[in-house]
Amino acid sequence: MVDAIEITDMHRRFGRTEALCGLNLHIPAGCVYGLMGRNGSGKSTALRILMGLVRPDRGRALVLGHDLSNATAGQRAQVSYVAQGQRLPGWMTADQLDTYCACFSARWDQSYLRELCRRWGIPRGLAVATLSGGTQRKLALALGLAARAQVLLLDEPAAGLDPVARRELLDALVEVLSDGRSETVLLCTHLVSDLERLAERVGVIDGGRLTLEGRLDDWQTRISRVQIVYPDVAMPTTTLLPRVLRSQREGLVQTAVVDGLDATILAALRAQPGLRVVQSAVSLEDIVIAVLGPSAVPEAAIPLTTPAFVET
Amino acid sequence: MPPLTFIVDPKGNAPVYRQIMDQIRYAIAGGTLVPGDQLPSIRELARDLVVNPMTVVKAYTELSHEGTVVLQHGRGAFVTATGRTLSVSAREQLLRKTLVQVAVEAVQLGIDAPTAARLLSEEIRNLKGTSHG
Repeated sequence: MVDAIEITDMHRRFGRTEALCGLNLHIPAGCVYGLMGRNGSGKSTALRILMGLVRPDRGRALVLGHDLSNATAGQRAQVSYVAQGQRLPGWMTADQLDTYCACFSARWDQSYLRELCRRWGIPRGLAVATLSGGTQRKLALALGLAARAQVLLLDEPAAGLDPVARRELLDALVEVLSDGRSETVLLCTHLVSDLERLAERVGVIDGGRLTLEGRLDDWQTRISRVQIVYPDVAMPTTTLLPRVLRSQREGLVQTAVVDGLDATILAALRAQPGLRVVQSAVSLEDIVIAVLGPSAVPEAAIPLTTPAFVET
Repeated sequence: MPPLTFIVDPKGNAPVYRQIMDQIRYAIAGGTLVPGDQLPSIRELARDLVVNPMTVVKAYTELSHEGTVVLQHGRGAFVTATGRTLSVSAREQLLRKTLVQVAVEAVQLGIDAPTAARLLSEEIRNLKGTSHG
């Protein structure tokens, strides 16, 4: 079965900035995928290339097997893109936008749009400029959904919204997912806490490429924070930790975010004389900060070696 | 259907589907859910918890694999007589996995095995004390 989204070895430079350098991203059909990264990490560029709005310097971008920069209207109708801070024309009403957008979309579903407006409390006869930021964003999402596309690309849908409006948008997305449909959703957002609720797979993009990726529940099971207190400053940092995403040692205390710290390794650490070890959970946000932050360990991470016992 | 409150923390210790499973198991152990009770629909629970419905599907599916609930096509998820479809040794294996973490904490806190066993017995007695019948 063909992947819904296939980005292979994508490169794109703007002037002297390398926006994308070798991005590889494969998203299976039906998956809800959360893509995280700093501002300027290349997320929006990747989406624009996927939609065929920007040409890559090198590499391939396919949606449902098609290159959208050179596709038929029918193939384009399979993808819906709600861009970052999508500004709808202030003077138009939802009903007018309904008529307008229907011209561009081969599968436009007017009754679904009306249903969503009713469910989400979006007035259909008022000019967009009179609606609150949250309502405008919900309308943009509703318009994106009414296109009945198989692939939905959402770029920062909740950016700039107050917490109540953000939660309403999240509720709306949960509802859409509960409708028993099977779209593929690629959600780019800084609001990592939203992804913890929605995403099945997640990836971190940094410096124009994907640096970490996996199933969200795998990450939550396997990745944890560990704090180790050494008996004295001269004692070398332990080599017992499995794959280390980030590690910092300050005097007696080492704090690390690690992948795969199970009960066996924990017991081995605690068996080391003088070490005090505390393991705790990490949120998705902590993981992303660990991977993107200054004390991140590069991909050639510390491998698991045999324990070095300290004789007392 | 008895009133059930689920609380999940997406930032928490375990994946959300695991938290849902744990709370259902706890409700069964404590008697809030009894064999024959129907669990909330996937859609309802996803909406209440504000999580991807696939997460609820996963929780219910895993619970059905271990025999705790049965999924009836078109009707919903129902509590079975707890773990009856699993053999004694299979159930003990499941419990052992949780006990490893308890053992590690006991050692770290300097609590010996007999004391830990006593604490566990008390907790089990407390739970059984709250169930009806």
